[in-house]
Amino acid sequence: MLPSDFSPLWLTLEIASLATLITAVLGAVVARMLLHRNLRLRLALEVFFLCPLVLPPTVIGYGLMIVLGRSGPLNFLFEDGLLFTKTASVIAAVFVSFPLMYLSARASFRSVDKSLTDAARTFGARWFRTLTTIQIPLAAQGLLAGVLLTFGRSLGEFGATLMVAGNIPGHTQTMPIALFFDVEAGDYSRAMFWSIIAVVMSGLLIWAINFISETKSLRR
Amino acid sequence: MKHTSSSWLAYLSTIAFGFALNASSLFAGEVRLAAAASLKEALDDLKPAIEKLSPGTTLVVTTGASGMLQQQITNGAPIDIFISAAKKPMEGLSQSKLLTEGSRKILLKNELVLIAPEKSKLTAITDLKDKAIKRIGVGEPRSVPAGDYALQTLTHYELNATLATKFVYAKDVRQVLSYVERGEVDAGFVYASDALTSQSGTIKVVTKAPSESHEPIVYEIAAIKQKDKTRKSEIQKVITYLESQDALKVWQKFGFLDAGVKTAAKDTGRAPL
Repeated sequence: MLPSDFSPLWLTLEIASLATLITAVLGAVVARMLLHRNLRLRLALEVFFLCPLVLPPTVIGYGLMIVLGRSGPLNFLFEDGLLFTKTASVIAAVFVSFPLMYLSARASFRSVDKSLTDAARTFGARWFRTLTTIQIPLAAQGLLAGVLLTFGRSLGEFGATLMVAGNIPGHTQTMPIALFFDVEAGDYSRAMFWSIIAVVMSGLLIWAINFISETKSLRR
Repeated sequence: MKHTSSSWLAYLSTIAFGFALNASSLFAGEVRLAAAASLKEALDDLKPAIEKLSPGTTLVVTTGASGMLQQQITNGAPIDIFISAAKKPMEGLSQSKLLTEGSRKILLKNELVLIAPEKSKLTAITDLKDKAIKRIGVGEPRSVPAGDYALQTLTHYELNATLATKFVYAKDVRQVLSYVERGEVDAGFVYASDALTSQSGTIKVVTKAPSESHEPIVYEIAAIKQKDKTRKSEIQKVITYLESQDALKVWQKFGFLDAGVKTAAKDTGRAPL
């Protein structure tokens, strides 16, 4: 009944954590940078950022496959290419989860009253100080929800990941991929085991996201 | 409010009715064949001749890992004929009493080969131990027969444990081929017929896996039991043609081997030893 090898679970957590770390910082930084920029520029850039939200994951997988492959444009950096590595899994997860983090961060930063930051600036606070003492604390709730959403999306990433990272036990075989191959092989008890874990983890995440969003503010 | 919900109901039932109508008309005049991934091109070639047999009949071909197709059929996929690249998936369906009795036969044979990108210096199976070989493509052995045969061969050479960290498991044999074609893996195990489908200059056949290193590679064909008996003769016509001498010429053109006399495969209903 139980799988003899739990590596898919640990790998999923490891890859999702790494991807979340990168996406959280990247998403928040980009959202903050574009916050008060020219609308036309922002709309143009967002087409690129947010596309993964609606694109078939296979399109992302195919694109990354070309870029990360042995004969891809990055092969001067990585002789062997990055396909079929943990790095590839992380990159795929970053791409698909970035829109969720960006959108959460954008909404949270927008909700911060601009007169507060303006006042701080008037009193001589530098950009960075304004960010760390006013904007981030006031946007914390939404940012945290964004981080959890990013983590959740990374945990479940399958399509693009299978295309760029393949199915290597102990290296790139995450839970969704292990489950897919268990079902293909008719090993339903193992598939059920992974499914139960995934449902429990997702349930906890959704509960946490809602809990955070419904709580008035983390600071007050 | 009440008005809205009843119009929704009407809307939904229209859709449901549409689907029901569609499902029945979709399957009339269709013979659905599920076949091992390695047979794809040969079946594309055979399709027009088969459809000429009984005008109005369309042959719908779905290909994939034999083990996966077995699971789909077990779960009720609407398939009339199954061609498996190994005994095991067919045996599974036989145990589940899903095969039409007496329809199971050995259709073809094939060989397993080690392939590598054209520029590779690989010359023998035992060279897979070399440090230069970092990744080896093999089919996921539980669902992909070619992967199962490949691991049998590596076990025969006592290399299985040594090489385990290099394996990239593919979802079907054609994925192994495309990994090697693109140079993303340094070697891979596919059927001799698969290697023939590659454009020249992309891959090379390093060596044939000795036939004693793995179970014989036999393709089995069988009809899947149908509740609806109206298409029985169409289905039988397709099977007869696939087993004919005319079809054999096409199979051979694509690198498959004659299985000899078309003997009924042992359909014991029991698991093989």
